[in-house]
Amino acid sequence: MNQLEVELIRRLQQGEQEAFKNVVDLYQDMVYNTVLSIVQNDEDAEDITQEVFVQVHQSVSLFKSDSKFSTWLYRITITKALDHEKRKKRKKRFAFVQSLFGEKEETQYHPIEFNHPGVQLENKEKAGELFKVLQQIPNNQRIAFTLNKIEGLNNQEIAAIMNTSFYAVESLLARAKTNLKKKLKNYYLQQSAKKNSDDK
Amino acid sequence: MINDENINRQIEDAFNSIGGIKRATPKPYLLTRINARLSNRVKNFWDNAAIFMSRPAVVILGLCLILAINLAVILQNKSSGNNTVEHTVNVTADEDEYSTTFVTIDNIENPEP
Repeated sequence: MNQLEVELIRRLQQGEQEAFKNVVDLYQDMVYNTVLSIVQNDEDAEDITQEVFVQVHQSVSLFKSDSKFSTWLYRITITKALDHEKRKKRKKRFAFVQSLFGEKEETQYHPIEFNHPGVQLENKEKAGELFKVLQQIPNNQRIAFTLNKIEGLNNQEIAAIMNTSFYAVESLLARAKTNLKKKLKNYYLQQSAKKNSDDK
Repeated sequence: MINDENINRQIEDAFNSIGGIKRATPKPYLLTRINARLSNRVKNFWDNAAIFMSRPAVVILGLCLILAINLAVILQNKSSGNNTVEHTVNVTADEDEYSTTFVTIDNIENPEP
């Protein structure tokens, strides 16, 4: 941690409102972008971002300076985003069970086409396909891939955030790439089969 | 073959599409919304507690707990009631055997000749 960051955290731990404002200004894009890439929904991402900073405000006293503040913040962000996904899946299952008993009409949870606002216009469609299959790979691979390709972190930084070794991150990234290629191949094969049947 | 090549190219394109991706930014006035949430959280502590207490699961659990405590107390009283009788009997027996009451001149009824 640099001296400025140390000073900022010290002020934040003392409950200075100005320090909290600085932390939000400094890290809001980082948190929002990470959450958005994981949950792939603007409103949810906004809500989780607020939750992350509320958590920071409430538990900054627990932060020990043995790691970087951004590492600690990334951990909170990822945990919150994954918790949100779990809750959403639970809701989806519950709605399905309710629909079986005919208690309520089934709530529709169709995944909406996600467009990351940071992708260049001409790449939107392809990126959308990549984000769609990104949801289908295991969480640890997805997080490593997101931090590396979307947040631009190196393996060492990802290892610190995920509390694992440099080589484990390398392996996670390689497996993520392989899985994504497989999923994309299946997706494109399906699309091509669908197109052929439509032509006939 | 051509299809395979085409698919591989599409996969490569998909991976390249996120090259040079920029960070997404939240809507303006995030800090204001966070502060509102923070103050709301403090204010709503008792509201949240009330909501929590009125949850059906919590209510049922609470009722079960009260019933269980009542049952435990009744059972305990029953068993301790039996013990009390035995205890009383024992104490009476001991008192008779090792009587500490002394006969004094006041206790003796005056036998009239």
